[in-house]
Amino acid sequence: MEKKQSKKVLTWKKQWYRFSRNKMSVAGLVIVILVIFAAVFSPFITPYPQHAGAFTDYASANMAPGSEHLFGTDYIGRDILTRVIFAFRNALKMAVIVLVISVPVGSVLGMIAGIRQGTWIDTLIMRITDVFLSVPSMILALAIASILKPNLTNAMLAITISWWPWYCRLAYGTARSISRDNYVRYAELTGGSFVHIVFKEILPNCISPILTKMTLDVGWVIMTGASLSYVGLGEQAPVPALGNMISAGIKYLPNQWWNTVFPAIGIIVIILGFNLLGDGISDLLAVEED
Amino acid sequence: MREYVKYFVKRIGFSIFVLIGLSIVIFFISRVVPGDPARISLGPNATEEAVQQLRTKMHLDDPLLLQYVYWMEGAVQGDFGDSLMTKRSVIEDVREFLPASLELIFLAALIHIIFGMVLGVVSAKYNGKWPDTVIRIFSYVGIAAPPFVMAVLFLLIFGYWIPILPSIGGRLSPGITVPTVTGFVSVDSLISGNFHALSDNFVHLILPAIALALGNMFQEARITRSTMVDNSGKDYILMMRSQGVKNGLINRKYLFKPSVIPTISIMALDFSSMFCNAFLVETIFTYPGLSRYAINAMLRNDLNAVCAVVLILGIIFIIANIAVDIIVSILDPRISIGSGGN
Repeated sequence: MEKKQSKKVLTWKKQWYRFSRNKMSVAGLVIVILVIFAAVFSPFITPYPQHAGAFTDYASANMAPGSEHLFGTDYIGRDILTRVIFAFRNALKMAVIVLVISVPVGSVLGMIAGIRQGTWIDTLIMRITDVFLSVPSMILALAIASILKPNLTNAMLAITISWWPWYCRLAYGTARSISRDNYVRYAELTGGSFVHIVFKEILPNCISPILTKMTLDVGWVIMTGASLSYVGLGEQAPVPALGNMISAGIKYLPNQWWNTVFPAIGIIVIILGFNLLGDGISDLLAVEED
Repeated sequence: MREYVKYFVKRIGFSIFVLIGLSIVIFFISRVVPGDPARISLGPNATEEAVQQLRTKMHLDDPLLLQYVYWMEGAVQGDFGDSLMTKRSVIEDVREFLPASLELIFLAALIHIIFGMVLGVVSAKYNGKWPDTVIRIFSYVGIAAPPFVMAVLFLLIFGYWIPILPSIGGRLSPGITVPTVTGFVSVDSLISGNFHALSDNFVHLILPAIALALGNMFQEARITRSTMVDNSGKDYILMMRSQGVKNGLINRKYLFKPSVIPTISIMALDFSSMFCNAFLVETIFTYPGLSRYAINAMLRNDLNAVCAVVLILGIIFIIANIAVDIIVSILDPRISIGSGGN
């Protein structure tokens, strides 16, 4: 038992060694940790937490970046730095909720279709998936969000509806290729229940590609969410979101450039962090599979 | 040749199925929305009779399934009803705005393919040296930056700070007109021999096109680089080097050429991603394309237009996918047509 545990610690160390050899992956990890930290503790670490909502202070409106307001203030005097950090919080919340719903739904459907390949269940699930994948997720999400009432919940719903098919197809591919393997057949023949086969036999094989895709997807979900909120189909003012801050600030170009430039850099940084981390993790898992 | 025919039949049958599915999804989502589409279209001041008239015209009082049948019946004939926004038939709007979007996306694709390959080749040639590092760092940022964010930054930099390019407005400067023949301003100005209009059109396209192209361009640079670097260690390359085959020839024929295939095989994906990014980029540059039209339709609850645009984009992407499959099967003899796709 003890031996087993020490072996596990070693592999963790080894994994970290492999991961840390690529400086960009480490940079990604650092960015992601900082962003998550800032997002979780935003009410405590931001200089003006009350500015995250409908706050007005016309006396200090449109101030350029300076020592008092590092990123400047917007047209009604709210601190941009504070609002960008709160927007990170919203972006992460959105990404987590979208993925937490769409990943299990998509993966389970994909695994079921993969195990029952050739039956009507397979056909039904995978053909529906094909339909949803025929237009890019963002267009579908925009269309659905526009039909529903514009708010954060509906934006998340719209993105979730257009996101699950990717995981369905991913899990389907893996499940299909292993569902004829001997150990799965053994489980079937010895009376393993369907649930047992899905979660105990198939799922462990699908988990690493799914997790890899998830880390790479966080950035894409954040980008889709920002796009929706840019056109006004996501989080509504006065709540800060990366997209709606840019679209509100665009009216004040070029003189009050800080209104748009800092949220824009914010989006780039948060997506960059998750992309780099995702690349690092997928390299790690790719090595593992060799 | 036979497998091509077989492939076509199979692929088109599958595509029709997918399009019917897509039409069902988009139609039913658009009809379960709370609120009366007729009332939304006519505004709060319209009389009750006018609303009722439109309801009858749009078959809104019929059962949902029957509504879908009516809608599909029109759709296959190219009649998606009238746009509530422009008060014209949706298909007329699409005919007007689609060429503008395609023009923009073709230019963006050109930029992304040419410069992406150049950057990738440079990166591979200087593998590990400073040009490679510089390109790699730019790639990370370029891929992470959403095109609409790039568009906003370009608007600020090239529209206001260094105003060398027109950043807002249509496809041509005011005062310049070309007779409409194809709807593509660049083609029309070529036909009429108006080179001033052609260059003016190009100047209007360049900023949004670069904003659209950047992410894909860097992605492509990465793919080209990694394919070339991976292949350069292979036995056949080493053998050629040892036999004294010129470096230039190896690079051109045996390293660069195979690296083109993965680029082309993701081109359909690139094309659709550019189309969806164009939704915001066109809006930011107020470029009168189909994507901006679609966004406006979405924001104004113009259901006929939303359904039509989604379905038409679905058709365009299916055609793009089939085209790419065929091109790849021609370029790469190892890939036989029909093995891809479904």
